Amino acid sequence: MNALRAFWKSLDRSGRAALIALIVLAIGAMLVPVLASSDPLAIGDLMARKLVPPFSRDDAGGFHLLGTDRFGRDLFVRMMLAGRISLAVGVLGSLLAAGLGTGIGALAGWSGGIVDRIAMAAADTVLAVPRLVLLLVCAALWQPGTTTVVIVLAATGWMGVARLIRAEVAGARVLPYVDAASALGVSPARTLWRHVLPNALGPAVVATTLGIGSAVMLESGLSFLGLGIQPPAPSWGNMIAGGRELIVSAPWVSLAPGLAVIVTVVSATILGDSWRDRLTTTTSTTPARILSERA
Amino acid sequence: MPSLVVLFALTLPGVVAGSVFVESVFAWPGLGRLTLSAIAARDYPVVLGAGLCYAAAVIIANLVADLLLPLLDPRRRGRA
Repeated sequence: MNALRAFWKSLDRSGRAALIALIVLAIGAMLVPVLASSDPLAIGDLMARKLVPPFSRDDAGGFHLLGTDRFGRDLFVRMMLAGRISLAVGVLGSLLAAGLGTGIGALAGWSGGIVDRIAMAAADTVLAVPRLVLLLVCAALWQPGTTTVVIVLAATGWMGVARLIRAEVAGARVLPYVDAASALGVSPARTLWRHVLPNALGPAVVATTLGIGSAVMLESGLSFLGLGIQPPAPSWGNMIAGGRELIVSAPWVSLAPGLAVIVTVVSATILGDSWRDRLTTTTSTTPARILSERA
Repeated sequence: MPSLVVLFALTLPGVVAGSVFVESVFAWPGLGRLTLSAIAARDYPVVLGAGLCYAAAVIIANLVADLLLPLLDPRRRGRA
């Protein structure tokens, strides 16, 4: 609890607002589909309920906060159900990517030499290709679906964290406390796990938070193109795609999930930025540094 | 300015890849839509070719940036 309070205090005002927005969205995504009176997947009385505008009632008297889509499904409930999938995929994807990146980066930074070279060459190779292309190709190789999207997001997102962790670990390896640990007979693996990694994790955590935004964005993009989450299951991306033909006659169908994506991505980015500002003395993640590293 | 050129080289392939969205939204017949329809049809040779084109975009953009940098930044001239 104290750690949480310290974390809250260290954020600036926009960071706090972003955190609150994300929490509200997550709680809504968890609770709304459970509490909703209508099944967000069922297609009921089409004529009475299709394309009801926001904040109004359908012919049967049911109230729809954000209106309904062309199958008469309540958009608010659907959006929150989609939020479950989109947020889960985004968070899970970037967490997996962070785990993979931490493992590879720590291994590379700690062992150095040929392992380091191979790992960083692999990272550079994947980093050189636009992530969207990798995602498209991976989506082409496997059946589209939730698991595929998560795995693909992880497989294409680990490089940033790997480079950060590698730099931190390689820097920490020569510090006196590592010598002290090994002089006391601590095994290298334990030194890495207990002493070096906790010190190297800060920038990686920030990078992961920032990565959630782009993961949600990419998931929406893939689903929009029909390569991500498959239709009866809602995700923000395929909801936007579903409202595309109606953008003139019923713009709310696409706008609602679009706004949800924007809020999530902007919040995750602001939260990550605010978090980074507080770590700014210890991190090496300024944009100029990332650019020069990537170049 | 030199960092701007590097940034340009890094974003250009992203823009080329982003054409997938623009072309599918506005129904422009381009590389992006070709890739998409090839993926939908499981036409792997075409997917492979499109991937090759994107890779070429990456390499060309980086090459252009690398060639431009010495022109803009005298400190980089004469070095390998």
